[in-house]
Amino acid sequence: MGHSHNVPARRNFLKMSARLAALGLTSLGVQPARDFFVRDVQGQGRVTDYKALVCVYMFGGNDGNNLIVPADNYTAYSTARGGTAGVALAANSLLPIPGPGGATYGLHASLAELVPIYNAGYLAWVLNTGALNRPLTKAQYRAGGNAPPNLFSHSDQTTQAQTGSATQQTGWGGRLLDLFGATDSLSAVSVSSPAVFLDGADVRSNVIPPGASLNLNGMSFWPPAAADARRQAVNAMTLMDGGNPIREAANRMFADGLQLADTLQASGGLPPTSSPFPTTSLGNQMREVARLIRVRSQMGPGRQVFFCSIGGFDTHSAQMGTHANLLRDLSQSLSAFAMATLDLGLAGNVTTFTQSEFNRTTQTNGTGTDHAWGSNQIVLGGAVQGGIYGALPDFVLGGDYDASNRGVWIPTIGSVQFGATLGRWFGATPGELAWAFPHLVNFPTANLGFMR
Amino acid sequence: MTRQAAAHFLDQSTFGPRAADVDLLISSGYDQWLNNQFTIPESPMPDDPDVSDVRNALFMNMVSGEDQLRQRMIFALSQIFVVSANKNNSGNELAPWVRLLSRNAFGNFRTLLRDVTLSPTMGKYLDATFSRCTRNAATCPNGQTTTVPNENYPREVLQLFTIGLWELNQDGTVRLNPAGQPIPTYSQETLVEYARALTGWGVSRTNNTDNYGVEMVPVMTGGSTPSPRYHDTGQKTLLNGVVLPATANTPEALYSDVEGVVDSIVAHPNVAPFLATRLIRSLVTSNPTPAYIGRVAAAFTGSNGDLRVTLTAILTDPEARNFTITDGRLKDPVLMIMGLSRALGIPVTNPGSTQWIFSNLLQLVLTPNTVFNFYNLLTPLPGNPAMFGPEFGIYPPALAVQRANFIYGIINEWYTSTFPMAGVIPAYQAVAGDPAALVEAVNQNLMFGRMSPELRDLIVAATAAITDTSANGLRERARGALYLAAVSSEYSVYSDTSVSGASSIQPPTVLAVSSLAGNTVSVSWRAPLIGPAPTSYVLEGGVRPGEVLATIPINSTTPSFTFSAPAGAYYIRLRTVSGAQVSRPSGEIRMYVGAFSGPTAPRSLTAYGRNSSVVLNWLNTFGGGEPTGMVVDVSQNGARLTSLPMGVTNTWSYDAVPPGTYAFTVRATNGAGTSGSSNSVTLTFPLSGCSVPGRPISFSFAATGRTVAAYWLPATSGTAPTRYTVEARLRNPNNSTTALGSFPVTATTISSPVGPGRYEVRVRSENICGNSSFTGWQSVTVQ
Repeated sequence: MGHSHNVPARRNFLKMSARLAALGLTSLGVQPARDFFVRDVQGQGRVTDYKALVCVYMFGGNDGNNLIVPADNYTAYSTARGGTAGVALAANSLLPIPGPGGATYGLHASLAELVPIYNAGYLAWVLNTGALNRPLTKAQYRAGGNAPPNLFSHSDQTTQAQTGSATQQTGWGGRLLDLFGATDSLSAVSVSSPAVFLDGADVRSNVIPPGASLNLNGMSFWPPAAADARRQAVNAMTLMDGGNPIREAANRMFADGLQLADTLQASGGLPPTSSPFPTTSLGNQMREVARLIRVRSQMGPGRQVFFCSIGGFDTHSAQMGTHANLLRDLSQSLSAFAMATLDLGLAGNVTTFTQSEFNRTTQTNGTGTDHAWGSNQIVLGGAVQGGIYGALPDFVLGGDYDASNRGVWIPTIGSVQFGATLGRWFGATPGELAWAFPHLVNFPTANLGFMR
Repeated sequence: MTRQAAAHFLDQSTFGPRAADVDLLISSGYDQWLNNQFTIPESPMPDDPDVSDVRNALFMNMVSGEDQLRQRMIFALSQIFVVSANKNNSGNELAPWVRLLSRNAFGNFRTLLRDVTLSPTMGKYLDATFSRCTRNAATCPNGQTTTVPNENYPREVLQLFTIGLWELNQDGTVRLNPAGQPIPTYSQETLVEYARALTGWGVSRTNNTDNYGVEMVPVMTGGSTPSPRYHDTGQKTLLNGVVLPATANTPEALYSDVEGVVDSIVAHPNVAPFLATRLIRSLVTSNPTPAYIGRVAAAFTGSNGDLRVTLTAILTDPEARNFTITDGRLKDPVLMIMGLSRALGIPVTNPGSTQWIFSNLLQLVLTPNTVFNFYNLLTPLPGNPAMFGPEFGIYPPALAVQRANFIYGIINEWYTSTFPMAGVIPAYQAVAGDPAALVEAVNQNLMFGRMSPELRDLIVAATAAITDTSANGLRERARGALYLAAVSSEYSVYSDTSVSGASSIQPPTVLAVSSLAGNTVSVSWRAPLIGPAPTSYVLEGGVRPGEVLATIPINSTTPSFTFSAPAGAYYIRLRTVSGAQVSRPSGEIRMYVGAFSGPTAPRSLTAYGRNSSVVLNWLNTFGGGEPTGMVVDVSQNGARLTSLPMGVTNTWSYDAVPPGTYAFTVRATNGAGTSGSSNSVTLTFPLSGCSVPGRPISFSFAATGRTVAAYWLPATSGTAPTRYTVEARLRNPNNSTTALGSFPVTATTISSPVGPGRYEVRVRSENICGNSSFTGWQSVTVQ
């Protein structure tokens, strides 16, 4: 796998940031008005290449503690997880990968497909990242210091992971698309359930179920002239609104759907790729994403954001087997998708990343784990600067990293920093990132460095 | 009362009119019909542990219960007070919830809110159950220091269920303070007070929970149970300064705090306009006028929150009875399919076998994805963000097609286990020999006489195009006519087609290039069949899809135009102009003009690299058509290994070339073809011989007025840089600095307008072998 370096145009950079800083707006917690700060550099014209972001969301709260394990600190890890009789992975089951400074990490045995991608330098691990409004020490957290609300609630954290903040009603994927004026029906696509992640201020998400035929039924019957007359009637109907704006909007959605169906049909299916997708829900979703990326990238420069999901990570009991199966699916799907983008010649144009609402407690409740906080996420693609970013916690229950006494890690990297690093690669300016990620200003850097 | 008017009323008060309902309403009048509905016994909702059984029972109540107004109100209330089978995953939680909404549908809002607050179903969904006080010797001796009262239900009950984020006038408009700013309804501090007041509730349950109490399987029939040891007994200050005094540590204290919470919310002036707006949007129209909201809010307030009085005010308001051209509401999938079934007399049964389709259409009853309902109630209307169109939240383009396909499947008897259609079609087939008679039957039965003449003509023409008049052909005619009517926006949107004016301005159709000679192009099109008559057209085009590089007014209504264009490949489209109105663009076509040719080949290809990495640089040429893309070709032993397409650029790099000898060439492409190849460069990997670039020289930074600019020159040492990274920061008055970011550029200058302040920048060189060190910081002060 390889990557193409960008040729960034000169950016009108200082304008945004300096205005923000000079006006002091962000420090007041006031959302900068996008019209003022962003519109003046916005527009299709600035987009001279094609890029896509693909979010793979793990519903239920993935146990990130068992994705990547500190081989050099295995005893602390294993002890905190109750050993292999609890929820620790056996030392001899881990897949070793090299980390910075001679460190060794071990991946869950189900993630075998990710090892060669990591070793080739196109997969990054971002460690102990999660919802934060600002960097937070344990003392600050226990003193009630500005932690995001409802930290351990599925519904709240699922929403916050996608909106980037409890203060936002739109998703950060949608807001990034807003910056590039990408509003057609292929811009923001969920191949799973509808996701607030994709809804921006202007951008409206589309939902395209994997493998579903979007073709309009009832349009082919004998004789063809009669079938054609019916289709012409449908086309004409989508122009009839009697002057009513609600009907006009309904017609527009239907007409856009018909056009999309025609586009997808004309582009055909995804050609065979070098690595087969697993025949799982996630595998089918990612195959559909590859198909839609192929269709859209052929239309010229632009931006796309996708949402895929895999459920079942709420492993309060019987975790070990369940989690191993889920991660196998994840690994095989991510790997097949990476190979498909390579086959399409778009490896450097597509970046895939994982998200979940929270980590799980390091300490087991018997056979499972409960809701926790900071977790480990994966980023892969041809534009990714592979490596390990951030650090794992010390695995001391009740220690300096632990928000409770069960191994609920306080994140050391805010999820807005994670998102902003992707947003920067997407082409957003610092001022635009401050708009798209409201708490970003509270963090020391907006670029974690995992994108080339 | 006309049949049309009766059907219009039943659109708003039921899951769709049936012929008999229309007749009954005409004979009884609105008031008597409403009073009758207020007294019809509730449809049953028996206990059942299976979620699907409860969903199916509710579905059947909605589609065929006689208490239609109550069922429609349950549907509306369930989208304001949201719980979901996603989390409430037992029928034992959902059946009592439906009964709660059902018994309160025509009751008092305060009772509804109290019941919701004490519902274990809601308690589980929004985490009020097992919310516990924070340990404190005085007010919470038994709590834990590590828990805090859960704010989930307190937040949503205020924000989403009752008052919203901003203070409202009684007509639903947002109140502004003297500075013109909206006024928040509550602070985080107030929210915490509500959370404290609601601590200490639990449920009896049958199995264990985790620390956060979210995995329990509660036995819901017992209701929420007070656990005084976890109740915060301190004083709480609620909305509008309402104070709940400190309490004793007793079950009675928990109940009295709940009453205090409910009273404080009900007393808030936002409740009336907030609820009026949501119920009107759900039942009647997406964009009610402030006056309408104000009248309904007054009815709510005047009756102390009597929902029967409120509903009557909503449904009998002149604005509900007489739609204007901007009134309307997109049907939800449930309303659309149930309305179709009821109008056509499909005897719906066994809904379980088609619930997966409702799930695909994003409206499985009792199972919204989030607390924000199936769709956010603040969703703007697509293409018209000044208006609301909440139901469009689940009507993206792909699902518009899928919804139409579901209707096609129902009519074509694909889903007969739920929608037994066989007995319905014959009546239409019997009149299908006469297309006009068939369409009139559809008009009367499905649309109760409300089909517009425009739509009737279209469907008649499509019906007559089926010339086969055998039984098969007549059945196809019948199905086709029903289908076309049902997927039209006259059916998918509640509106009044009789008050509608002309269609909005429409683009031309069938745009085509009719002749092309040298640089002279003639295009032709068809005037739009619908909407205001064109007074002129505007032609626009660019070199990319949707791009507008040139706009040519065509001051004529003649549907053809001849013009001269430079050689090239273009995308063109056309808009209709009628007076001051301009349509959206027509479909786009590709146009190749003149002796349009492919681009000429790139030249001066050079390559360098290190190890397995390579960087190519070349010059593009413009002897032919302008390039719109590039292709890098990689060959080995004379055989092409791969061709990599990309946008127009003059550089490309790749970081994982396997060992071996490769030849690289570059081609340019555009719509007319692909150029020949550039010179070829051959490299053997792994490579050596690249070095880190030197630091930029002659670096300067200066300000002209409010514009700052930095300049530098490339170093003469090392391998040439491929780009530079500029770092910028702001020097604060206290001598600290604020990073403004780092910016990769390929030019050797960068400038920007800025605000006042002291700015500092530095720069380094970069290429694939590494980065130079940064220059020193240069600073400039802007006044």
